[in-house]
Amino acid sequence: MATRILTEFIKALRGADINVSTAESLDAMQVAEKIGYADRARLRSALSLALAKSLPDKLRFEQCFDDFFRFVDTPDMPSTEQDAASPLPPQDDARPGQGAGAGGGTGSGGGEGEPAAAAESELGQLLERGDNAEIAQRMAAAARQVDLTRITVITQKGLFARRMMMAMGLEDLDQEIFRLTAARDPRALSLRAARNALREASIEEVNRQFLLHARETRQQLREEVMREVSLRDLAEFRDVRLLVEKMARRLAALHGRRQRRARRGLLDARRTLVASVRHDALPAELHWKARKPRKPKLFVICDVSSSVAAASRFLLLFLSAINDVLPRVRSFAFASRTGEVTDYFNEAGSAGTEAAIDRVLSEYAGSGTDYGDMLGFFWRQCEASLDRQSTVIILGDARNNDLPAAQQDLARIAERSRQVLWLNPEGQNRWGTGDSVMPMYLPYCRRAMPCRNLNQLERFVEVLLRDMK
Amino acid sequence: MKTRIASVDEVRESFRGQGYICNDEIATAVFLAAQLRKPILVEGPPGVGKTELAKASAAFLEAPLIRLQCYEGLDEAKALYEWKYGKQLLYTQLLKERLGDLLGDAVTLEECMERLSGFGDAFYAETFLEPRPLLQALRSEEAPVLLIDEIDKADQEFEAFLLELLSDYQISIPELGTVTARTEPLVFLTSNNTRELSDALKRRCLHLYIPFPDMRLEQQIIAARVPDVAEGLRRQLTQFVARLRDMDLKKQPAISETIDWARALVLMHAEELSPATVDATLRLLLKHEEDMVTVRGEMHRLLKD
Repeated sequence: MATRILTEFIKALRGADINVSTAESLDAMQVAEKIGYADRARLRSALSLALAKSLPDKLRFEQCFDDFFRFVDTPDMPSTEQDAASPLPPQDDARPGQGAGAGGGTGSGGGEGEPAAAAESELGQLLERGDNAEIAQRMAAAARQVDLTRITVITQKGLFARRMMMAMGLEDLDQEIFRLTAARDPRALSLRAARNALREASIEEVNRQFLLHARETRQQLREEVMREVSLRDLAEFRDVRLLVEKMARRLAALHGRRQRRARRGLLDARRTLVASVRHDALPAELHWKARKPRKPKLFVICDVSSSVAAASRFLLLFLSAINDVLPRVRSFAFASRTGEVTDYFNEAGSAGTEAAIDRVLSEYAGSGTDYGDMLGFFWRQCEASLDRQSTVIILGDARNNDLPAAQQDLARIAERSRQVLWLNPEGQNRWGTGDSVMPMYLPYCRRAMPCRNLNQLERFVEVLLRDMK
Repeated sequence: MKTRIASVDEVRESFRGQGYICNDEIATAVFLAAQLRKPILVEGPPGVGKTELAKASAAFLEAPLIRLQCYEGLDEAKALYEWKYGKQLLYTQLLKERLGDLLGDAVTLEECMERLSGFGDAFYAETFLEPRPLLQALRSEEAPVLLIDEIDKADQEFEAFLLELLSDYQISIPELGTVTARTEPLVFLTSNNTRELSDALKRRCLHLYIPFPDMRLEQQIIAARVPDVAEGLRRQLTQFVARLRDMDLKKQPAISETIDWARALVLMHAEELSPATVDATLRLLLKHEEDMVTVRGEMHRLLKD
């Protein structure tokens, strides 16, 4: 049983975005065995040692532990049971057993307080005894039997509560109540009240489990949805920044590592020879040339007109989240006019990225994008600093409001730099329709990718990072 | 190494006896690590006593402490073993003539090679092996406490190299084969979190995070280490330090610095904290000029009860 509880707890942890491997689950079992279940605080810190392996994980772990073991802890259960029963205080008085004890002046029911009049069904007897601790235990057992951890949608609550009561023997109780009602027996009333209280308690229990498990699966589900949904609708999700950061961290870790591996260069013949003198001209120690780190430059040009602003926002957010891997980035924004916004980000620092993005979006917002003008501006500004190490990223839908496309400027930019990458928030089948001049720009782009959602954006950043190393 | 540990409280009491005051969580971690023979990864800000914990554990377990300090560029040769090149060269030089005798009647190259290989890998035998901390720990007669300090400073490659050691207490050396630990060491890894460690490493360890101590614990630590400090002063100075840690400083004062400061205050016969005494001794707590300026500006707020 202890194993089962732990397994369920680990399931809840995984849902809460703490990665627990099988090996770690086994560790947790051993740990729990050594420490025992008597001291709750100690169990918590012990399990945290084995299961949560970073500071954020530890904090989430504690939250999860408190939520989870509130339910499993046996000493807690009677009290929650009482809470659940409290909305119906009169039913206590109506219970035959207690009614008789309090003095049988309540009329004809007085004589029926004797053991002979006890309910026939097992559940009925249990409710009549009113032993909250036992009821709670039975409920916990029923919850396990029904496997409440599988509940995922809020609308399943009633169903699961009913299943739990069935597992506790609801059917017999119902039949008894039916019989008693037919016989106009006053005990029917009290049994019915007790049954209602039990139902409420069950629903409460299901709710708690739902909050614990479904909230967490929902989180995963939510992330999946967020990755797929179009960037324009994404701003509505409040926790999207966290997701972007998480994705960026993953990429940064992946590529940061790779950069390190490539650091060692060719054999340094001179130093190896010099060192070999010590060993009788045997090249016993090898020396390597340090590989000269490439210093790529990145230029990002974002269309911030209303139709594309959302995509720009996320590209900027993404790039700033990986800025420990990326080299110096110069950013430009344009809608009806173009300007460099690098300083906005430098001033704001890493903490104020979002504020900086907001500032860019509001200051440059407008309609009537002119790509030709933007390309000309960029060429004049950056002609001198473009070189074979430069990558130019342009994000925009290339809808030029029937203005000249000025693709010759893009050609010059592409000629000067290492590559031009284009991100288009429209699907590929719409490039070139209406006033889109995308086909004119395409020949000069090393890559043109759609970026309709976070998944596509992530793919792009991955391509970019691989190329940068 | 002591193998029987009755309870978490025993660990804690022993630590207390050594002047290492810790909370229940830390004692639980050491208890479990020793019982389950699992490596333990200790993280936390600098100066909360991570290395000290390994030392205290070694003393408690009555085991030798073997320490490996990590740094960028640390590789197997420095951590595990190295061949004694000099000795190898010297031996070949000295044995040159004997070799001549041995090979005397061999004519062709093939014959010489065959003869030589007949002697086995004489030059790659244990005699020429220089054991470094990790190999020392594996070959130790008595189970040691192995402290791998500041693992985050070492490269990723080294981290990967440690995995075999951490999970199976063995290491593969190409020339010698697999070396298995004679007695399983208790491994402590410490990290200041300058970079994220790999999941594979974390998975193999118990993970302990030691934050800065709360005021109550720090008062106990001061009481144990600097018994001469009067209680009123002790309360004042821990409160002052706790408030410093809440500020945005370049370097936050560590426990050892609090202890140093307490000692200094005792030497100065300070009865209580006044702006003047704090100002005179602030250098013990803060190591950056900018931090000193910031703190001096807020002295009154920091000293308020």
